[in-house]
Amino acid sequence: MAGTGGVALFGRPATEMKCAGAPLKQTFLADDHLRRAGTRAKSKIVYNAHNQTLFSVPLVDAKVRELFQRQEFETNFGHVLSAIDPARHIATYATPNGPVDMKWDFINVIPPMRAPAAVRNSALRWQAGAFSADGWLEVDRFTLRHARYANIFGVGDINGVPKGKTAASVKWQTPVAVDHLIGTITGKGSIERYNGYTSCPLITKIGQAMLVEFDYDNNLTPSFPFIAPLEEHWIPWVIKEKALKPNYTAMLRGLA
Amino acid sequence: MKDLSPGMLVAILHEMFGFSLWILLGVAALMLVFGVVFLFQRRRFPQNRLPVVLIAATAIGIGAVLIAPTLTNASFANIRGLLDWASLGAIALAGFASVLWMAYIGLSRRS
Repeated sequence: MAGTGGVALFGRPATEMKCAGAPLKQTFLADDHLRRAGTRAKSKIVYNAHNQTLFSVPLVDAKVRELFQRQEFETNFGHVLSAIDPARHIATYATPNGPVDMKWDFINVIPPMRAPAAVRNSALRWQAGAFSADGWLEVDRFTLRHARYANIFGVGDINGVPKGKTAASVKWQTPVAVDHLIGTITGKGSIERYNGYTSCPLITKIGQAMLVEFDYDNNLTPSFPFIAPLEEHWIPWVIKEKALKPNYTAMLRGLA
Repeated sequence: MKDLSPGMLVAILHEMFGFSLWILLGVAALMLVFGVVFLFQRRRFPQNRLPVVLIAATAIGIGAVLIAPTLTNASFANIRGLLDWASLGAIALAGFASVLWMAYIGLSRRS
């Protein structure tokens, strides 16, 4: 499609998902590829949001809407992909007004996500509420301790907590869970709290990004005072391009 | 991203550069030690070499700036605002200062 132009569809599932900013990045990157290939004018980029927002943090949502308008993306709200016909290049979306078919030349599909069977099919899952449908672990969002089994803690994607499905979240959840675990074993307890910190280096084109960081309360929580979270810059791109994967690997080795 | 300790920074840099990191840090440490020792010895830089060294330092500083966006799969079109320009300025300054420092170590003589 990059060479000829056409219709490109993007979106995200209605479930919790790993890095909710990823489909936005895919959309921006596709736009950049098309512009570099000289076929953007012959293309239509459509983003189908699963609810009425593009991003869960209102300030970021407003910024992304502004950028989508600037880049001339067509945006539909309340569209959840329900079927796809690869032979006819037709995607069907469930909408409040009934199913809607859309033709595509390129489509980026992010599958619905749920907890792995070991948790989903156990008593550890949420029993009711928003996180119960997909079987996420029922932990307290601040202490990461299981709501019904005091000797069980959760870190990472498995947790049924708002936001929190990024590597940055895991990095800040782990010390809290460990402190509570040690506090429980020693009988001293712990006052550590995870505030929902999440980081999303939001790529807006190849070479530029916004370093968006926020917490449970939708406060922007920039780590570096000199990097404005809602401005596109080269430096956040450098962080994303060069440092995040090594950071992630170092984290997995227990060194970062 | 928060609370980036020196230990974490080294771990991340090690993931980026592998064993080369230790060579780079070793060379940097040696340069630092030699430079400081030479300064205490009050070694003097030959004034007749200064113009060439300044030209070389400026060229390296400018070269570092020119190559920096490319090394990150970006271009100068992506440089926006004070943060990006200040970062490029820091890169230029680092290149310039490194050449001056190395020249001082290599060319200075006891007075």
